[in-house]
Amino acid sequence: MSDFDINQFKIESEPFYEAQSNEAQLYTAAYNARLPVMVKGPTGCGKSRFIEHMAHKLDKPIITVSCNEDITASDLIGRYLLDANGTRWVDGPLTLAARHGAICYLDEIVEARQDTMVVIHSLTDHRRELMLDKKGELVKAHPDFQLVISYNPGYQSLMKDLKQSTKQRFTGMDFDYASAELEASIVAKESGVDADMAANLVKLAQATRNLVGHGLDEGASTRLLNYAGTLIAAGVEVKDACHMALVCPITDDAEVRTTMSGAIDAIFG
Amino acid sequence: MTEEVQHKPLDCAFESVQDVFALNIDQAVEHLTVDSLDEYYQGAEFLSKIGQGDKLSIAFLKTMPWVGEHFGDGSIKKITDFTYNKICRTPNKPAVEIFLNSFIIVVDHINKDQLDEYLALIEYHLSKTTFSIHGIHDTHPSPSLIALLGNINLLLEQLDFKGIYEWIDYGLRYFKDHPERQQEFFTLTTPDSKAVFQRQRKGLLFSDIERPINLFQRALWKTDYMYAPYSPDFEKLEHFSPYIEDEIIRLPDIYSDLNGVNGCRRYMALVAHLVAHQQFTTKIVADNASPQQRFFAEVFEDARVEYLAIKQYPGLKKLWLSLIPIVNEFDCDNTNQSCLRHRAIMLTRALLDDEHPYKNKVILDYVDKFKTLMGAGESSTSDSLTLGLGYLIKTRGPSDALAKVYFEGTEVTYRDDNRSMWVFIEEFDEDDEIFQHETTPDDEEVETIPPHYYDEWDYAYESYKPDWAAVYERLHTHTDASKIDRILDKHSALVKQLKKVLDLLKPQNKKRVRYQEEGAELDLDIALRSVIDIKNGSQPDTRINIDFEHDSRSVSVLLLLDLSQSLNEVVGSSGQTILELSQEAVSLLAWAVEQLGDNFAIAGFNSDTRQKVMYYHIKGYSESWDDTVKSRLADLKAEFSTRMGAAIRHGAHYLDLQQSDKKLMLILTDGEPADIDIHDPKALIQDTHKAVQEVQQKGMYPYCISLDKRADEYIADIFGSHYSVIDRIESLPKELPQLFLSLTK
Repeated sequence: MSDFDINQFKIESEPFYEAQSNEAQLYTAAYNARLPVMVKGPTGCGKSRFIEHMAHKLDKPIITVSCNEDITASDLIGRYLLDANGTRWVDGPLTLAARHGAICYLDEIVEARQDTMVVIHSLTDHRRELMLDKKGELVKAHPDFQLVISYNPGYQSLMKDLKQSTKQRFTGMDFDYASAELEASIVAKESGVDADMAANLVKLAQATRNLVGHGLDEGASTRLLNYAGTLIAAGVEVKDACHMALVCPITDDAEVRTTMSGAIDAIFG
Repeated sequence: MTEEVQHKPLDCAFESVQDVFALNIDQAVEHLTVDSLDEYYQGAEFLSKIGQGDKLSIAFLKTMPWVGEHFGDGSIKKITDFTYNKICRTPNKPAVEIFLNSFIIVVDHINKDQLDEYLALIEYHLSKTTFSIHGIHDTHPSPSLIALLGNINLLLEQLDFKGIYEWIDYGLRYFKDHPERQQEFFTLTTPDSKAVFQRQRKGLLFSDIERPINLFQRALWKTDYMYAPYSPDFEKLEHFSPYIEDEIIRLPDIYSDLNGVNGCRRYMALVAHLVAHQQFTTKIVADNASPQQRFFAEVFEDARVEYLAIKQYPGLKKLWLSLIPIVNEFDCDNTNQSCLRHRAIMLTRALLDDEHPYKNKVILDYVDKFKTLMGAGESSTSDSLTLGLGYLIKTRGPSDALAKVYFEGTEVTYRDDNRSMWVFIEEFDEDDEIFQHETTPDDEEVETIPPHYYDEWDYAYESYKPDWAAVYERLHTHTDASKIDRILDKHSALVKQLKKVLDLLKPQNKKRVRYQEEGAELDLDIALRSVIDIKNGSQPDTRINIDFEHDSRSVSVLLLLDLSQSLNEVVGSSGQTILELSQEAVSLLAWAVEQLGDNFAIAGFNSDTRQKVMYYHIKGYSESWDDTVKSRLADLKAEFSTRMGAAIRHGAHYLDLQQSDKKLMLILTDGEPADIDIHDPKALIQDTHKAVQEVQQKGMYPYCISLDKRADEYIADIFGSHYSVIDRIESLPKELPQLFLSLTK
């Protein structure tokens, strides 16, 4: 395994991230102590972008796993595969990160079943080790290894939540949509529209966020705003771009769409 | 025209007619051509000689100058002939005068070439409503022509001819043989008449757009004002403005397009303006300002709040501007009319529109002052008052007090009457002790809850009769709850049996369970892994199957009880009435459902004609099976008839609001749908069938339990295959819960 190059997981160019407050400082402190971190917040508010940004800043490789219901412990740890000579052990992403010293980022962790996630426990406390029972190996975590998980508390159902025993192994950071001015400046930088247009797009996004629980499950995210901005910067008519990026993806309810087109008119004329 | 023509005498012996002629002849000469004037003379003379007295000629003389001018030559003759042939020679003579007078209104609403169409409409109505009992002659006058003519203004203003025909046809279809009802319908006073009228109206009904408008205010301002629409047409509130009071927005119930802005956008403009007031207006004392001063203060205040709102949402400017009329600067003649409104509307436009056409120095001056104020940042309602006072002083003139007011095109329809801006502190405005309202006891208050109206299906015409049945909701009366406990005790053996079934009853959703030694399917992923383990020499996992299990149970149930008179019949030799047996059955069922924890409601219904369908709440969805509910169930009474369709629609209204995957509506009845005002036995069966279809379309599952032995003749027509007939009514208490359990298994 010594020929494995963990550096391929490094982020080469710096991902754009606009700090909302002191989150970079908090994260750096947690990383320095190698404390596991959980980031919470609504869809598209910049959780993953933040982690990538920090990995780049700290110059550490990052291995991202998008969790889903069918993910199993061996999908994380690794397994034997068949090959011409019989069987061969292949490390899973978690083992890779622990062995070679990377940040392991488990995105949307509540999508995985609760009992699967118990395998991360030994890596997240003082032991910092991982038992590969099939292989009969105990992997001691690399000094650079850190575990980060993210989840979206609003969107998942009551049924999907982390076990207390899992939750209590992490330090937590709350994320939310940035304040209006900050979000506008993010949209302006990321998509290339001018400041006024960005501010108006943010107003529209806030209108959708006001409708959460009244026909919308979630408001338009910063990511969608960037999409809308990108379309506008590329010369698409403002209303078409808003409809394509901010209305169509988030709702199929005809009445909510009527409202949104009214809001678009109220903002853009 | 020569002097002699002007003064050619009218050949008529009635003095009263001569008087009216003298008053109107100048008008007639001024407005009519020579030919029309001839028709005018001939018509008036003719009508005074047909033996109907002087009234016809008087009405004719007064109205025809306008008719002749509007419709052109030949029209007066046409109307004279029509009046004689179609009205005077039928039993409808009493309506002639009203018919002639109605032309004053008619000329305002229909085009030059539409006279024939209008006369045809009246003739159509007459021919359909004037009837005879014996022989070929029309012997009875139309009971509704006068009523129709009384509403002609509203009809022509709101509907096109096609719409009026539809409305008339509807009235004829259902009330042809019922003169009093027919008259009620054509006076536009009954709910169904109004509903049919509404459907034919041009424009967008607020009720169709309420949710998007509600979401609109929530999205942009996070506000949650309620709405109370008013009908400008029915309530004779032509120039009534919207307003907001006690967190409730009063707005017109219908908006048609205006200046290319559709109804939906007009409602948005209105709500945006009202919310802007709520955001930025602070109340100021009104007592020291005259009505004119207040009027101009309001103009500035409207502009101020809109300016601030536009800062936040720039697109509102375009929307509002498209709804503010532009008047010609020199249109108002201030020597003979009051130009207050004219000045106000120009100012309104100029304050908001940077490219306004006005050159008036004072306007430009005050627009500058306004812009300076707004540009400075801080502004308040009292600034608007200052500006308003100043503007009025600069512009006022003696003609402002004239009674004749320039009104046309000075209304901004989306703006409110600004009552929220003023506070009056005059002494006499305080609560008047004399008119203290007597507090009504709770029971009476229940009586005043207005009914819900539901459409009813007319199978003969394949159409709905809108707002036909009035459903009144009541909480059922109550009595001693222990009666129900005794019933449960009596059936303790059955209760035990049911308990077993309940334990077996598994919830519904399927959920995948992996890692099973035994299961429904092979889990390929895990099986493959085990194979690798075997190859590898390590212990394979034997849990390679996948299984499915039922997840939580999400059911809402409404049990709808028929409480009609027939339930009082005694069944067989048991000595119990059907009602008592139903009570027992419902008690057991309610107990069983409570054990399952399903969302469950019980309601009863009966009806006494379409005007009074009663819907009794016995158990609400959120209530638990406790003594309150039991005491209501213990007090069940059976009376009146079974208008099932309306009850099903009303029950479905509430069931639809429940958040569950499965919604079940159980209907317990002992006979076919019937009511004393319906003679066609199929009518209500077909209506109930339609109601059942509607309920199914909304994703609910209706199921009927009939206790009628001859139910097989009709029940499948109503419920399709969703029914059971219980032949031995005595066994109902046992069968009902079991039926429920098997339905929800």
